[in-house]
Amino acid sequence: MTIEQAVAFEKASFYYTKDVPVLDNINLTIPQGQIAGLVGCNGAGKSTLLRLINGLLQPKVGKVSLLGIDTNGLSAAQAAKYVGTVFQNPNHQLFLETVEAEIAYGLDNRGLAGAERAMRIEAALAATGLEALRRSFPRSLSFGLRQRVALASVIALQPDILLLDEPTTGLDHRETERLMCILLDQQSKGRTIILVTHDLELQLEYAQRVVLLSKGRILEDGPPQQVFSCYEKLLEAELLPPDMARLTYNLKEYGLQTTCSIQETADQVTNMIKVEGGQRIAG
Amino acid sequence: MPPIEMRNLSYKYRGAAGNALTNITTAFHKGEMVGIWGGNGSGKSTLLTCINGLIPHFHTGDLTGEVLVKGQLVEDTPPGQLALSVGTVLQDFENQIIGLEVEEEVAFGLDNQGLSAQEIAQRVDNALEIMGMVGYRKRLMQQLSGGQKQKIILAGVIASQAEILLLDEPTSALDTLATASIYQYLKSQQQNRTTIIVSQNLSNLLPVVSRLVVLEQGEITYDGEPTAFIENYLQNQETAGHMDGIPPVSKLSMLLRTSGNSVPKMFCSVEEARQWILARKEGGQG
Repeated sequence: MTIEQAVAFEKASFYYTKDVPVLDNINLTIPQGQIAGLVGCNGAGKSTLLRLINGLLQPKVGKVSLLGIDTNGLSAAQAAKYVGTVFQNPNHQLFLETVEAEIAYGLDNRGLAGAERAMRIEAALAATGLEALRRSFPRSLSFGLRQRVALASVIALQPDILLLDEPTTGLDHRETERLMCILLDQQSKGRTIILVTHDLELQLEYAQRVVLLSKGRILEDGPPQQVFSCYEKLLEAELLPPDMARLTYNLKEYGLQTTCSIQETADQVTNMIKVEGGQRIAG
Repeated sequence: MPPIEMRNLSYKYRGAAGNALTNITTAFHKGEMVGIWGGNGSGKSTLLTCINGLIPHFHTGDLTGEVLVKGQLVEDTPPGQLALSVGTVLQDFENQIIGLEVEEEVAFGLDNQGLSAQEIAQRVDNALEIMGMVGYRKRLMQQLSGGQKQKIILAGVIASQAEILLLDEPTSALDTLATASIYQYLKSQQQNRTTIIVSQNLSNLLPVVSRLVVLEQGEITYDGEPTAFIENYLQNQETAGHMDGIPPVSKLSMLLRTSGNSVPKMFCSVEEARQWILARKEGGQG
């Protein structure tokens, strides 16, 4: 395996009870610098997959590597050098008096001091647009800002891989866009982003690749447009396909190709109506 | 008498610079399913909190105007009494977990209503079945995933059969299929109650609500039929920054119009779009 792979699962399985696998024989590689989306219904194994990446769990069978390093034998603290995690609810990870202290906390744990520590705090504040709020009490900020503080404290650690578990829950469209811009900026710095979200439209817009997980197995893996047009696979995974995929799939008897693009749907429908209208006139 | 009335309601949290809600006058009626939409900090959750009594009974701040639930002033009604007719799912639903086990959690409100053990057992069964959580009855709440916990909180509210349902982002932790089925269930149960749903996701709200209330910085800026709002918004894109988030089906209606098709009414659901397409196909453009 080459070092270009940020994350590699090789025949990895995980279970709490042996006959009930939570993840079953996962083979998956995520190259560095990719925004990879992870989708699946509640209980599909998404959170467990993230925990195998951030070292909170080890595979029972097979192997998980981060940048070529086997996670078996890495403590969660060692894995945290490569992987930063942002959880769904920022309230669960904010506990200090100021935004700055929150960002500094992880740096202090790493033993960073002086100019490097100060520089990283500034860079994280700048990357997340929080400079003016450095002295604010994190828990008095709006939900969207708290989510950004949580992200800033992870960014300051400069992990190679960022894991985000439903980071846009509770955020309005504007805050969601801001958060995604921050992630795009991180990607441009070569970081790998693994994004878990139920918001398929968001995956369509930002992910380069989507992994569809169902009952602990990978059911589909590819560009989001392609994966989300697999209507039957999505239903098998107990996910409701995006609006356009549902609409076009349900009109396939009239020759429509299943797509999740709004423009493609509009074009197909317009053509269909024109053709039908033409036939009607001719007939 | 409408079950919920608000008269010139304004509210400011203690220590806050400005009002969370300003001069809200409205009523919510029996049989109505209302969507409340707005950006972060627009006052959506505060509005619900003024109905279930958390304001003013638990949050201190400056409240002016009146909120009446079933004709009683909320500030004069003990929260416990309000809870008998008002079922709430909080945005931060993990904060409202009380029971140790799933069964206990779902039954909590029913015990407080003084129902018989048999009635409680029946309602718990029914609610768990609706939420697809029958197998979890004896599980510990803390061992459930976020989505499963949210389903149990919803099950508790469903089991209560409350006349007024206040649901603040009730499906935020759920996958898309579970979300759609819960919204459809709520719609099927709307006749005998007042259902108010706060969500930032118009794609969830539009197919089910008959009335949309839009909040911006604590004020109601729209109250009426959902499609009219989308029409209005699309004609006036710069209204406000937070307002993209228009559902894909509604965007589709716009694109179809641009291509020269006549789409008199914006689509609010996939089904509406499908119906329109089939009608065009059968009848041509005329």
